[in-house]
Amino acid sequence: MPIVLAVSLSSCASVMRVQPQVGRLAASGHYGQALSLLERQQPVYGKNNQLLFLLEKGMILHRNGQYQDSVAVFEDAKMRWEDLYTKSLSKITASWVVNDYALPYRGEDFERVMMSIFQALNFAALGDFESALVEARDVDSKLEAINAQYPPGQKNVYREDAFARLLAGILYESAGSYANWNDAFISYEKAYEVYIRDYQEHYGLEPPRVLLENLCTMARWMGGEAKERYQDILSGQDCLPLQEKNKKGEVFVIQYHGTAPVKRAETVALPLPGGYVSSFSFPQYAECIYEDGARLISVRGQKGEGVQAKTELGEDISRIAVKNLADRKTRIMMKGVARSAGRYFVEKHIEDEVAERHGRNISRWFPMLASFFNLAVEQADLRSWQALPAEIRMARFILDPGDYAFYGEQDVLLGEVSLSSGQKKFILMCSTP
Amino acid sequence: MSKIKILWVAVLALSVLSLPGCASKRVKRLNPDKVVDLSGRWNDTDSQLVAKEMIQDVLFRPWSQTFMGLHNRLPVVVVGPVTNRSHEHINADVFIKDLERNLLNSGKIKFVAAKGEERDAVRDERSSQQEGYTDPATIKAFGKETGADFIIIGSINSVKDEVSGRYVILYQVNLELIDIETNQKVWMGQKDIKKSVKRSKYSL
Repeated sequence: MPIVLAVSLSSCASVMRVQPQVGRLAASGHYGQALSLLERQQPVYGKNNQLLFLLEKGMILHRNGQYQDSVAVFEDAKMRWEDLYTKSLSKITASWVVNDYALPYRGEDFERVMMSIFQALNFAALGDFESALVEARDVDSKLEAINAQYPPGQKNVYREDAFARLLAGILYESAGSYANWNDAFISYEKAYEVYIRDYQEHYGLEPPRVLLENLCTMARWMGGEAKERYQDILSGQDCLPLQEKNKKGEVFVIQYHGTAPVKRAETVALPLPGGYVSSFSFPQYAECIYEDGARLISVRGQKGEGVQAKTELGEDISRIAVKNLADRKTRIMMKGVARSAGRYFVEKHIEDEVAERHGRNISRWFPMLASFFNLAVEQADLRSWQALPAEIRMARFILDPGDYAFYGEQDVLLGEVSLSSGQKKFILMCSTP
Repeated sequence: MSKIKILWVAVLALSVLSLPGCASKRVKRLNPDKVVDLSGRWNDTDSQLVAKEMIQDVLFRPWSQTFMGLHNRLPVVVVGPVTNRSHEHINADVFIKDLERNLLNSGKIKFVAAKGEERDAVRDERSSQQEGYTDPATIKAFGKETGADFIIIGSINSVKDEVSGRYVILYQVNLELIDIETNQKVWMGQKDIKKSVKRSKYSL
């Protein structure tokens, strides 16, 4: 018992000491420091938190513009994720005795999709659209697998990702062939459905203007039934015909805003008969308040012409995370209660045996010791991917071929882009709340 | 010992076993022809299978004989883009280089450096020979590159069907040899690789 107690407490405590520090440094834009802290503290992540380590590292590298390095780390994370499909019975047993830190961190469904989104954006920022499309197809197969896990009717809101579908559509459109444009239309259509069906209801998020415009262009290009299906929705949309759009270039400014919410523990003490005290703990997201993330992006061309657009919300990661955990809350709490009840049942029997062999004078200390053990080992699993932003926002510019400079607020240069016809480019930026 | 106690000890033993322990690493050399499937993803064996199938097919088709009959020389081929349309990152260079090497060594086809990195490296070297450091008798002239007669282009596609830890995946590799002057396709090769992968849900 003391060994289990000591090892389980030390390993989870170390990770939970490092995680918030890494999250805070990443959120404040100190990526170099966050990275060096993470690498210095890699041993404390141990085998159980290897995936978490890779996700944090990949994301910090991505946010710091080290796209090539981030690609390699996310590829490792992908492999690790596949390995984690097989669950260890011994670890599951340990989680029923000790706490959920005995289990390896296997991430949430939405985090799996997020990783592919950031990997696709890594490739897009590097200008490698073929590899970005590979990730888009991978997202498709991941979402299919996530959907297959849950029977219809089971409470699980996150089954589709509208932003991932929108991004896939943009990437297909950039590949420029009839087959790819057809795929782009299908992706936009799915994105639209998910924004309307899920995102509006659960996260209060409307389809972004970029999606409506792109869907309008592709539905009109498809013609026939596809065009008719979106006639009402798209009648007010101002969109360029595909042939006209392909003569121009497009720049997407992707903005990461805020920090992902942090989990805190809620503990309920359970006084039990015979002087025993137990408790169960469960994670709860602390409400994270941050200012509106919309930022004005300005573009200036060589001839001095200027265009401005505000970034609009495409993915509310913070709300997805909160909703996802809320869906699982009952299951987590029931496990905590069952764990406490199981411990009590075993401890009571041991106490009776101690009393039988050594007398009541000795056994009367047992409930106190057992209660100390129960309170010490019961811990809510607070692990989460903390370098994630709270929101992904987007602004799109359709421009004539030429050279342009992009500025954020206070005239901060975001990037300079040389555009040719049909070309699509991505600029990634981070804003702190 | 009571049953409860045995259960308690067993549970604690399992818990201790599950906590991080010492890992060891063993490395051993393998025969490159040995089939080793670990993750179910595209691997070296798949690349070798594609190369083998394509080499046999392209060498025994009549296109090169027809070309030699018409032009009385070996056809010159350049490797063009092989587009990855699958859902995983696949390095097409592995089987393309196998293909190139086998075709070149067969003595029936000539290759020229491919556009991009390969050709740029050769051109850089030729340019550097003109900088005054090279023996004039050995300097290679500009404008003497051999123009290819044919280009190989291709694509890798995949279809994946997955449910509860089990998936079936089909990879299809298509290669085409196209006459650069006429756009006529003179050879098309295809290799399908189908895998069924089952992952255990639980382990000890």
